[in-house]
Amino acid sequence: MTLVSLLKHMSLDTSKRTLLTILILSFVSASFAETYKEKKERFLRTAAISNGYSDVTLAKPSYDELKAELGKFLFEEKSISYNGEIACVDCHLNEFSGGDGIPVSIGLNGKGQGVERIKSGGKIIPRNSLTLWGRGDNDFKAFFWDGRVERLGNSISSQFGEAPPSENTLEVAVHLPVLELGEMVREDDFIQAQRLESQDSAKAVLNRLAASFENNFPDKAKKLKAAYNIKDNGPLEFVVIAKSIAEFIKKDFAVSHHDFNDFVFNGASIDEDELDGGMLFYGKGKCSACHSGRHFTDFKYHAVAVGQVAQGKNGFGVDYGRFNVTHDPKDLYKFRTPPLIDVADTFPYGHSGSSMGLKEVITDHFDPLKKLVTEKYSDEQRINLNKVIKASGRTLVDVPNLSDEEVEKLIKFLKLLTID
Amino acid sequence: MKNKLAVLNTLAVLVILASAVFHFGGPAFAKMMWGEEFKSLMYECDHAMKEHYIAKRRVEIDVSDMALKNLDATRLGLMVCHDYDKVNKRLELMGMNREQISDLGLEAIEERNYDLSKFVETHEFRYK
Repeated sequence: MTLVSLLKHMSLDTSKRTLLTILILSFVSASFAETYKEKKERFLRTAAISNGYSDVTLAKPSYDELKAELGKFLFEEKSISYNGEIACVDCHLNEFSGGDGIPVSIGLNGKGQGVERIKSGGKIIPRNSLTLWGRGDNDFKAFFWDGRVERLGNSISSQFGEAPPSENTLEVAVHLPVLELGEMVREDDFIQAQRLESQDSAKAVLNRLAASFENNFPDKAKKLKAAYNIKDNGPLEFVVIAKSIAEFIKKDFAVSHHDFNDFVFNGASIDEDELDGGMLFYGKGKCSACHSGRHFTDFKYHAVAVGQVAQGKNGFGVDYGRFNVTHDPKDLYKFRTPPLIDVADTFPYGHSGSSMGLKEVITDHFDPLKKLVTEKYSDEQRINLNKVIKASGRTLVDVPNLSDEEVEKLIKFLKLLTID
Repeated sequence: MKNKLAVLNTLAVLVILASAVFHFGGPAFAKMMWGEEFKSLMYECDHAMKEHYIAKRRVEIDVSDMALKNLDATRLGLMVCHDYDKVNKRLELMGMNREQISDLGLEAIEERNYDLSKFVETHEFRYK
């Protein structure tokens, strides 16, 4: 029976019947029509996917439990550093979501965690320690702030030239901190002799590290060799240590879920502010122009006018960033777009940790002069900032002015990427 | 004979004194006289070398009239490194060893950094 015939059967005059019809039709259409919020949710999901976002649950890297367990031991073991003084875990702590919670890392002689570590007077490393979330994914193409280990097609670009120690980018990346002077290596006569950077000198140091580990932990070395099918009478090579640490990173820093993933792929709901923040991220704010894909990075290099803390990779408070890898002046002051997984828990931000909060670092993208308190800046700092701003103008999309309220909404959206 | 011995003793004392002055007083004097100049020139020379290297790479990668002019200018700018070398040698002649000169260099680098400890003092670190 149609609605019209039903109404005809009711003893109502024409005007009442018309009114009732309108009411019923409005109710029915309202219950079927998409609300404004639902429409925005649909737009946001579509925008995320069209900007390369894909389901994290489908990209979880596989790993071998025994190798990962050995890797955990190695990750936490100081004896894998040249002088046996520092371990990977000293700068990649669970308490700081895989980073170390301070602007730039403190290497040798550093003690304690957080601010206490800075005050302990250890060797200052020029860059901010990066979290390790998602580094085990096969599509994680570039490592470190300047991408000094990077997958290019079928090959790996790194300090090892055409003979990288592994075909896996993460495994190659694990080789580098243990070779870095001040970070995990204290200079002695042997290191002095290897000072000229070459593949042979790197190999000599790595061999010594592996031999020293085998000497200190024969049982663990035996297990490692067995896990990687290496003859027991042969020497342990550092690449096996690196592979095992990589296996641990694949396991422990796998991005298995976050609220935004649930929103995009499982229909979970998010609140109005988070939704608006997402629309800003993929819309007006143009964040997704660089922070795209599943890791929220394009794995490319851009200059953002963040400040500079400590001596910088190039000394005197200067860090040329990607230029140090490519030696191309176009790459001056550029850094790899940082991934944003768990970004709310991985402060401070920027290559030298100069931005203490998300609000500050977001503002650096469109109003870098806001932080400039001229009397607090030395001449060199101000001039350096000017150079970075010029470089950023040449490379970064033109991010429009965002109100404080919009920045707050963006932050709420970014918190959806938090890993519990 | 006694007179000769006295003269020799005096000479020995003078040599010891001169050597002590040279070894201990010389470096301190040199640091006081030319330390600041050395630090400033070290920064200037470092800056000039970086500018020159970047200019050279620019010409190698994408040559243009402006890039060539820039390179010529940065070559001339390297003159400051000659001044730096001269002060460096003066410090050595005054008895400063490599470590003492390196320490001066480190002081120069630290003075022109955004000091990490100061940054930590002026910003509030709040951990969960």
